Amino acid sequence: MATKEASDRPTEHATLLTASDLNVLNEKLDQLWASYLNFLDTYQKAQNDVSKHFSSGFLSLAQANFKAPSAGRGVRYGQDYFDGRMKAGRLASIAATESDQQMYPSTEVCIKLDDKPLSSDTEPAAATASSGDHTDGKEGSPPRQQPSPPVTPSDEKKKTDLSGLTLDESKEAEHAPNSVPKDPMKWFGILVPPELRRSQGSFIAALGDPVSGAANAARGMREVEAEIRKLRKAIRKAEREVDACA
Amino acid sequence: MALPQSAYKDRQFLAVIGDEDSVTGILLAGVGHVTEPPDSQKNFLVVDQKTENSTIEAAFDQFTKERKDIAIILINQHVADRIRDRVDKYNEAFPSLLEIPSKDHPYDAEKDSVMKRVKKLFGE
Repeated sequence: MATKEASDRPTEHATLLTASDLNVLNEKLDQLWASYLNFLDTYQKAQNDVSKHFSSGFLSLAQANFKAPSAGRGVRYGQDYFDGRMKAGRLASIAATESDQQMYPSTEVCIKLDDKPLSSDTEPAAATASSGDHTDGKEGSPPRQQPSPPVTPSDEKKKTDLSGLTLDESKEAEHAPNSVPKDPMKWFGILVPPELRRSQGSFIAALGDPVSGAANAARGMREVEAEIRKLRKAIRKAEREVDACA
Repeated sequence: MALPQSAYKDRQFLAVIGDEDSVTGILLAGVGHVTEPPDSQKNFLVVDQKTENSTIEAAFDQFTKERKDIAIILINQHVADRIRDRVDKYNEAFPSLLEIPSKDHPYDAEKDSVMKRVKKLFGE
């Protein structure tokens, strides 16, 4: 009899443990859902912003095409003018974040696009080089490679930043010293209509926070989604065990 | 859960697959890049009505699988529709894939692969 009681007790204890475990798991699932919905909200807002900026960018581009001197001849601001040697003036760098980890435990790498104005691009090489006291008057002048000590500190700064992906011009100089990023506006000539510049501004704005926010949120959702699935499975298993013991 | 640093440390470019106006606008923002010869790889693809789906697929595969320097891929939603199967199946953390609107096709959340996954998760 005593042996039977002893054998019953652990089962009861196990049942209680499983029930409390179940509560813990449910709470954790709620937290994950909260994170997921946060990401979803961020994603939708970011997509709205992207749409808004793109829409104004397209409108300005259409106006620029309409006002282009060669508009009557069917020439428009497009791929015919692209420079086949173009170099990216805006680059991404990705680093792990800490503060985001606290907010969303599953997200360890975050994306951020730098809102640097392109005006530094308009000065060929001078603004992007680290010491930058030379001026390249000619576009065809040979690019100069310089030691770039500030690159490391700026990278360090990025790593301590909240998020990781940054469009950066100085890093481009480090990555490809022979290439000089120029303002893409120059592909289309010197006297471009103001609408084209407005269009450029809109697309730069879109590629700032909205695109990085959407990309971050999408990746975050993907990660939380996997955890939710895993947890749901664990909860189902725990529920079965509780039912079996009851 | 942590991604190894090698998975993203070299990723620094944005890639674009879209119609001419979208690509022009995004390139105006300064993200266009052509690698040094002889291979001279571009990080964008201009898609028009004559562009074959196989060309779009090849560019998508190149940006997602072959190239290790792409951080984000922007693709027009109507172009993504043409290779929807591939886009929906894409499940990697990097490069991040984002569907964007174009001049003639506004963003539709119903078609977005991210929102489809959300629906699926809520429906389970």
